[in-house]
Amino acid sequence: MSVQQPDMPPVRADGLQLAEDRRVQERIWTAERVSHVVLLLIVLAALAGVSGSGGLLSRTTLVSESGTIDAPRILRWDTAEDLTLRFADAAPSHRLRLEGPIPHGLFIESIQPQPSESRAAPNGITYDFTAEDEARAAVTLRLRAGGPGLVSLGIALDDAPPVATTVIVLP
Amino acid sequence: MESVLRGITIYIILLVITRFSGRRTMGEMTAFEFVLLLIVAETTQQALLGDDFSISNAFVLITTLFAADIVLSYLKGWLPRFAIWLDGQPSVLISDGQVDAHALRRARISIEEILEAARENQGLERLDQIKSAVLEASGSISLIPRPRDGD
Repeated sequence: MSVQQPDMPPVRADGLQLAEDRRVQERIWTAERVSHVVLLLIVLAALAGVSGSGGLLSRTTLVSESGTIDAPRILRWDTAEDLTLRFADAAPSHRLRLEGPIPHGLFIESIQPQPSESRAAPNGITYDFTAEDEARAAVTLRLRAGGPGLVSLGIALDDAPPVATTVIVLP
Repeated sequence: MESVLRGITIYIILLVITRFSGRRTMGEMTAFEFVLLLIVAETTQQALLGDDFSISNAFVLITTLFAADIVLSYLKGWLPRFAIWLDGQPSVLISDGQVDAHALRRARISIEEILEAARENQGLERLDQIKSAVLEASGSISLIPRPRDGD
């Protein structure tokens, strides 16, 4: 019965018995250099906010006829982010209508201040807030994403038409 | 399902980053690199487990990680070129006493590191006492000393 011999590395002129494919090694070293640049770019992109959780690109400001909305553009799965609304007019009451996948794609962990009333609608939720008559009210919603993907959301302040935004939820 | 996907994703991320960050063995780590490793381990643990600290989740994750490693070992056996890319291969840094400056630069190894390995492993004092130096796939530096006069 013949015994199968394993592949032996060649013996080089300098006496070393090892398999070194310098052509492949050069490619590996080049790939390492490229990956170092990629790692640096990932860090810079994260600083810019591409990975969410702060940074210029992670948030967006939407302007509605009835106020402004500071909303996250990029969310991380299982991480909470604030969505802040500022009503333009001073009024004793304000209305916020959220159209979209709430509560399926995004969960509202908390609302500050608490709404005086909330109603479920076929495609979203409506909240009513009481406010000091002379103050420009601000409302903060703490959002948490239910899973990775794209979440489209319509936000309507008072009687203005909804402003659409899409939130990227990273895994 | 989520545990398996988390496990495989973290496995691939760690594999790619550690592979392309360069070769260095545990024994050659500086104190700071060791601390860095601990931080990476802690970060990875949180990403792997999420909010689920159940035994079921731990069992699924451990099984996934071991299974991924076994699959990879089979792939390396079937595809030798893939194995070279994944594990690396030995690189000759000094051949017959001749220093390969190009290989040293590309492998990011300094002469000082070779001399340190020579002192630690072979008790050698100078570069001209080294016949061959090889950066192994594991990241360690192997040295073959020149035969002494009279050997």
